[in-house]
Amino acid sequence: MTDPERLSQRSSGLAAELLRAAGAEQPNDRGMQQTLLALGLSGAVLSTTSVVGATAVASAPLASVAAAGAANGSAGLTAAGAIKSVSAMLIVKWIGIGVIGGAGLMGVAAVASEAPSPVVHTAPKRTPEVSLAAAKPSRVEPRVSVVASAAPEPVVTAAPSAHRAPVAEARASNPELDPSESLGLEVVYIDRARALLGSGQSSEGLQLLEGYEQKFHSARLLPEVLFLQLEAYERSGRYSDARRTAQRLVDDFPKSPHAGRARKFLGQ
Amino acid sequence: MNAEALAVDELESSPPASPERVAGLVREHYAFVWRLLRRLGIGEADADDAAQGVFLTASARLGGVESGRERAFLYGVALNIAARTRRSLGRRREEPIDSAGEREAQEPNAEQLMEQRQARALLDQLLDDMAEDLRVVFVLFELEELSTRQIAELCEIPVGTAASRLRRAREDFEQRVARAEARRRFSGGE
Repeated sequence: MTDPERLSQRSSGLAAELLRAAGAEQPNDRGMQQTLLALGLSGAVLSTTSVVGATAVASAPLASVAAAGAANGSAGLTAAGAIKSVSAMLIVKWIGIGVIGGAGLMGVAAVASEAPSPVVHTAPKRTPEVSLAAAKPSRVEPRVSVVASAAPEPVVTAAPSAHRAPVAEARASNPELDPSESLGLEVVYIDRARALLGSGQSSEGLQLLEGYEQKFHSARLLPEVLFLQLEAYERSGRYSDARRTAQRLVDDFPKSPHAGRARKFLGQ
Repeated sequence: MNAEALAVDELESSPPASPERVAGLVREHYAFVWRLLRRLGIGEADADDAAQGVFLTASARLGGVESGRERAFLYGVALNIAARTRRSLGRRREEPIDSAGEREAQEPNAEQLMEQRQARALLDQLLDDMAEDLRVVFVLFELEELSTRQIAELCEIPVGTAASRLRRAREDFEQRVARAEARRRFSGGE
């Protein structure tokens, strides 16, 4: 039986146009990386972090490092040798921190500081109840939840890990932490801000975005944060803030993919 | 079997899969699952979460899935998650804020982005109106570029049924496109 020619392969026509547009849509790497993180597969995240290269591997997502440390030194599933060695150093570091923190070797991956914020919890090892909660609810829960409550600092909670996720706590503003280790936290933080903005909770979302640079000194995702801030300010009618943010985006990150949007906003 | 029953069934105990296998599953099939969810009516803002839900659910039972059947297994879980997500979120089409990350690669210009976004929105609208069994076959053939034989395996239906559904789905889709085109002309669009 021969299959018919696909509609998208026709040279013209609306049907082909629509299907080609859909074909051009791809998920971004971050979604996959966060899925791996949520599954406790930090090593796999290390091996898929192609954008940032070896430097970023040294700054592997905090939750990843913590989870890897808790996994008895599992240095990643497919990371290259150099990556493994850097990861192993981080793992040793985190195990040490965990032990000092008084936690059991398998129980706690990292307890980083007494500083007040933001707090990242990786949920305990998946129990049947947790598994049920992960798969059964009528709404797929967000990967990470941030509670921006009356407390001055939002709490960031990571999704449950399916395989090996001992309790892990780390605090991004901990002076002992290398800021470059916080990439995973940054991703989680920004995603949550985006989710809040998308659900109409503008002030909470903006609160997170405005606190980003203070929380993450390395701020490697700053262009994206500024872009989100720009859109949020614009939507909130805070045009002077939007203009200031757009100008900063253009000045500091002229080659960023988001700079074009900022220029457009500024009328340049 | 309804979706909730299936969800519980999905959690029935099975031997745990190795982390390597789970990681391989995610790496190899994430894009497939994500695109499938999108074309099954999950909005951009929810697609990452839904895809993650698929893999979290799948990982719990992967140990019981024989090698080579992973894609079919994921397909079943994705259909289930898509149905539940659509039910709980409603048929939200487009989210108000663009996904910044989506723009990082290749960066088409603003007009192209807008055109693509509009085209996808129209496509999703047309797909939404199709019968589910036709829609699934259509998406797998036209967008995932599977053969009818592969679709038959994935959906666990005879090849003849897959081919028949595909033929009906294409006719249905093309009629809908023709109507959309006529509406566009009539309303003074391009």
